[in-house]
Amino acid sequence: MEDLESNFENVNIELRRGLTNLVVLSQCKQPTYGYELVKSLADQGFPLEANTVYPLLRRLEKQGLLRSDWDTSTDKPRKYYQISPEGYLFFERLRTQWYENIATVRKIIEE
Amino acid sequence: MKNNLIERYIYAVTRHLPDKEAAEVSRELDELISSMLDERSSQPGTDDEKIRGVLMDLGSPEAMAREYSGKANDSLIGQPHYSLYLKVLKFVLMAIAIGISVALLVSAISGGPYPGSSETNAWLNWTLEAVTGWFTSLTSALLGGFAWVTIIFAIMYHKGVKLDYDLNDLDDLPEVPQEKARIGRGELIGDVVFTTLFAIFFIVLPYANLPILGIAPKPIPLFTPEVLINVRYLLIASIVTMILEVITKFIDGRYSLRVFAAMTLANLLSIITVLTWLGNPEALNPVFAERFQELTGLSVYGINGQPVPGFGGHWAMLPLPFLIVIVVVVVVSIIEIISAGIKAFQNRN
Repeated sequence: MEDLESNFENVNIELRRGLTNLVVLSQCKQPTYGYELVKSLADQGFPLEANTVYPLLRRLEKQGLLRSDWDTSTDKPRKYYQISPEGYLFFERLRTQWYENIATVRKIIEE
Repeated sequence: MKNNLIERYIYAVTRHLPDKEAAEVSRELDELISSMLDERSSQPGTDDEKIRGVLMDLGSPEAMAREYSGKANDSLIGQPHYSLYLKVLKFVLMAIAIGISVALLVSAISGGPYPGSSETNAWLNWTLEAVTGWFTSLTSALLGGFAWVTIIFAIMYHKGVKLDYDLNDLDDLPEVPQEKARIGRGELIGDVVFTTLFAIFFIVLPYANLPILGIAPKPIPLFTPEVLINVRYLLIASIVTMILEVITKFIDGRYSLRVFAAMTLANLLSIITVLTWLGNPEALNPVFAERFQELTGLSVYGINGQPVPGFGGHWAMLPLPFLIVIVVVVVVSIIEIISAGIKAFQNRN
């Protein structure tokens, strides 16, 4: 039974992994820094580890979907990320596609 | 002052990243760790304990570094190349092992002590030498083969050389070979071993060609080295076509038209080579012939000095074994070409 339990966890992680880009992009409409994002996602019930979020933010920035700025006005400099226009289009497309996927899969699994 | 543990953690994450990126990532991680520490400032425990707690939560620096480097093909050789790599590697190593073993066995036998040698423990020394020689040559040849195959496949993988078929060309998918048109593993290994031995004896070591054990105090080469060296270009061309044949056989795995073409070329070159080389009356080392006659009282030319019936001109007076080899090679080559042709064309239809 323990095997089934860990298998379930793995499948669940796989399911959520595909959604991290969508979720993270959705949270960057306002400038936000990494740790703020980690906490807000945990509060909203979609916990992601900091060691996943930080590299992911950098990758999304490299892909041109996010932009970043260091805020050095306080004594704790922070890097703020915000979605770029291209990132926003990408996010909208991904979101529409996700809704379609939910509808399709729901139809399939509920019949 | 920054805590040494934090610095060491950040360094462990960033040390393999490109310099510019490492600086940026260091700054980010610094920010992250200080945010996490701020959050725990009101919790009980010493600073050191809190730092350890935060770093433990962040997890292994290697895992984090992997996330940052974020390369999809971060392996030396990945699929689909890996499957073919394994197949080729096994095949090459097996062929090298067999080829080297046979070559060294033959050269050891021909280099053995002659009867009545005055050396003490002649046979023991010879055996030890042969075994050490075999072991060192085999090890270095296997390592070399392994390295080359690995390097070639790693380059193919990272350059994205295509191995599978484009779905736009479904019609180009290879036919399932009919059972009799399939080329067996055994045949391929046989080809490679033969090619290796051929190359070693006649091209790499023309002066050491199959000297016969014990026929003289010093081994006498069977073939005249000068004649052998004169036909070197033909021999090299033969080897190249043989290698081409093996490669096409390996890729196609069946008697395709390409395999047929490669086999025809290789066999025609074998015929030309054997006629030019063994057809030369001086191909047999005269010193060897003389010594053989002294020892046995038999002449090696023709049938004990008499022309071979059915052959005219200088052919009739060639050494009989050479004449037999020439006839066998010519006949076998022609049969190979014809049978490959039949298999290839039947398979096509």
